[in-house]
Formats: sequence, structure tokens, C-alpha cells
Amino acid sequence: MPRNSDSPPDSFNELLDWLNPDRDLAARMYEEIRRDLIKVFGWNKCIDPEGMADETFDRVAKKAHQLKDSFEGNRKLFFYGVANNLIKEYRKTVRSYVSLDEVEIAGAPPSKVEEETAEAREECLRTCLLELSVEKRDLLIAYYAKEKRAKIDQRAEMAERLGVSIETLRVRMCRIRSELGECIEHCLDERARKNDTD
Amino acid sequence: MKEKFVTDAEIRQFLLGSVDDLERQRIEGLFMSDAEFNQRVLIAEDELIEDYLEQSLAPKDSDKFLTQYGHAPEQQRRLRISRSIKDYAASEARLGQTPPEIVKRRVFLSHVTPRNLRFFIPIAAAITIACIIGVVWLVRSNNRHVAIERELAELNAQPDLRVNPSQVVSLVLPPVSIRSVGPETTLTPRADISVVELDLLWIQKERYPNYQVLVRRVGTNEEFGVSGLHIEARPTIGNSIRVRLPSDLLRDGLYQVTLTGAGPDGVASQGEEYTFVVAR
Repeated sequence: MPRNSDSPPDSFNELLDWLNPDRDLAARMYEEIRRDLIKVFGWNKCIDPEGMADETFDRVAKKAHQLKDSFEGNRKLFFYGVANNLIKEYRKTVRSYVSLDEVEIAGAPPSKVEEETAEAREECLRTCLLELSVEKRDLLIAYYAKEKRAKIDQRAEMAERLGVSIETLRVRMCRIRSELGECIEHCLDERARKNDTD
Repeated sequence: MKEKFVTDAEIRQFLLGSVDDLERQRIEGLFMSDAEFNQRVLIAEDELIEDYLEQSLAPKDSDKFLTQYGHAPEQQRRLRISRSIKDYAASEARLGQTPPEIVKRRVFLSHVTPRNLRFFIPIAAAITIACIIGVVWLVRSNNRHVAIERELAELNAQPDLRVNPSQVVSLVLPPVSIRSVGPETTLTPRADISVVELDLLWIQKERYPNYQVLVRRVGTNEEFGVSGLHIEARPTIGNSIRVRLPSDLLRDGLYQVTLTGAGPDGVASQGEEYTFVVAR
């Protein structure tokens, strides 16, 4: 579980307990919520979605002790409520900085992502494709091989061949695509980290 | 109270940043709390990115897309990764390594043993040469095709601005399904005409944000696509979709045009067919 937190470790443990008494399930839920929060912050054009997702966890962790006894309802929605407040705060900050100083987004942290080379991207893509099962890899290649009209025909044909609906195929491919994307991002981060230390 | 259903079109508008704050919060709340809806949004986002990479988005949506997805380095990297995956899949498919071929290749290789290696070496050499010739031919033919598709996309991006009207000839084509029996609409290109404009009459009740056209010369492999077209209400002919083709692209013969509408979720409508003849 990657996490840079300002809150004490106890509160983080309490947060996990609050998510689920089973530690494995709690960890899985934590990852899911974090991934979704990063998406939400990205859609809202926040400059550091990952940092803001961590900040959301910190804020919830500080309340975890109270929440354990009093909260009833959907835990993920509680996280969203906190995240939405952060989004509003972020917007206010950006607006006030722009109107006062007429500068670009002030206080924006330097990006953790540097532009990778095409070669690095290709190598990571190939490495990650090998981590997929042969079946998934073949499906992925067939699914993304065509464009426009030919793509629609190809996907309909694939669904028929697999004996599933187009909707089921879309869901399956979205999962494979997301698995591959995460692997490539992780691989690129690792390479960048290695280059920094060399 | 039952939550109002969110359509795929609304999800796409949300992803393009075109919804108000209340709707944004509603959709984000559902995204966080409803696993099925979460999946729908992720699929819609993947497909939106694909449409952007294929340049299938209308110019306005393309601008919105860049505002939403092009601002943060993390998102730019995700776009580059998506582009790499698509490019890789397309090149694998072009090289003929689509799934069934991969399976066949594995079965073939399982028969190679040291004892029969001398039979396989010449076969492998012959296959390699054939593959190289095939790849060169495919790359050349693909380059030509890409150049034509790009020219078509430019010609149709802002049709009124790009061509002198005196160099344009127009053909109004009704769909084959309603055309009365009679001679085909025939076009005789002239030297001073650089662009042929087809007005494809749209008789279906449904309207779509985008239309795409596939033009094919019957009996050949020549096929060209144009997407991102829009419906226009024309006072003299009614609703039509206008598509422009460079006249030097057209050879003598019968052409078949397939027109489909694409919904905001990228799903294509039932197509309409049109035909015309080119005769010099």
C-alpha cells in the first residue's frame, strides 16, 4: 500500500479497521478508493491527484476513531464528501492566486512524472504484455487492432466468437486495459527511479 | 428516492467537463459508490480516449478533451500509453500476428525437432522473404491510405473554407432503400473540377452527433473513410450529410457509399447505402 501520510500510524490502522475488520479486504478497499479518488481529482483538473487522494485519506484517518462508533452508511461516499471539499478548497486557492498575482497555479508541486522516452514506453509495454496471460494478450491485440468502422465490425465479431455480448466484452477489455496501463505506469516509475539513483 | 439513470451520453459529457457542478457531484458520487456505474464510466473514458486518438471527435469535443485530459503530466502520460497500446496492436495485426495466427504459429513450431530441422530451414527462409516482401508492400500501401485519409479529413473539416466553389461539383444522392428504379446517378469529372461533393440524404428520424462515411469502389479493395461529419438542414433538399472527395481519387466504375451515425457512446447506427457511377 503506497502511502505518504502526515497522520500517525495508529489512526491509519483505525482507518483500515473502519474500512473492514479483515485486513486484506480493508487493503483492497483502500486501493480501490485511492484509485477512484485519483480519477475524481484528475477530472477536476487538480494538479496533483495522487497527493490530494493521500490528503483525503489523512483527513478521514484523523476522524477514524469517531467514525468507527458513529458512522452509518456508504464509506466510499464519506471519502467522496471529504474529497469534494478538497476540490472546492483547491478551486478557491487557484482562483485567488490567479486573481491576486496573475500567475499560473501557485503552489503546484513539481510533477512526479517526467516525460519518458518512446523507447522506455515501448520496453515497458512489451514487458507488461508478457505479464498478461496469452489469452488476455491476444484479446487485447485483436480488440485494439482496428480503428473506426473496421473496429466496430471487429469487436462485434470478437464478441460473437467468444459467445458474449458486446457489453461483456467491453467490460472485460476495460479491465485488461487498465491492468496493462497500471503495469506500464509502474514500470516507467521504476525506470525513472532507477535512473535517478544511478 | 430512486437515483435518476445516467445515460452513456451524459457520462461522456461529464468526462468532457460539460456538466454543471451539481451533476458533476452526482456522477462522481455514483462513480465512488456504485461498482457497476464505476465500470461504465471507466469504459466510457477508455472509449473517449480511443476516439480522441483516432481523431473521431468533433473539433469542439476534441478541444474539451484536451482541456480535461491534457493538462497534467500524469494524464499526458496515460494518453501516450494508450497511443502506444493502440499502435502496438495495430502493428501486430498488420504483421499478421492476430490471435489465430499466433496459435497456428505455436502449433507449427512444436513440430520442429533437430531431426527435421533441414526441412524447416528452407521453409523458414522462404517464409521470411515472403514476409519481408509482404510487410514492404503493406507499409507502402498503408502509407498511401493514411495520406488519402488525412486529405479527406482535412477536406471535410471545414468544407466551406477550404475549396473555391467553382471547383466543386455536387451530387445529391438518395439512399438506395428509397430510390426509384432508374439509371444510376452518374458523374463525369472535368479537368477544372477538383472536388466532388456528395449530399447524402438522411431519411432516418434519429439524429446523431457524428456521422461517418465509407466510400468503396465496387469490385476492388479501394475503400476510404471519413468521420466527424454532421447533419445539415438544407432548404432545397432537406436533411443531408455533406462529404467531399478529391476528384482525382475517383476512377471509372460503380461506387458504394455507406453512411452511419455514431451516438455519443460511439455505437454506430444502422447504415444507409448510396451508389453513384463515375464515367469519363
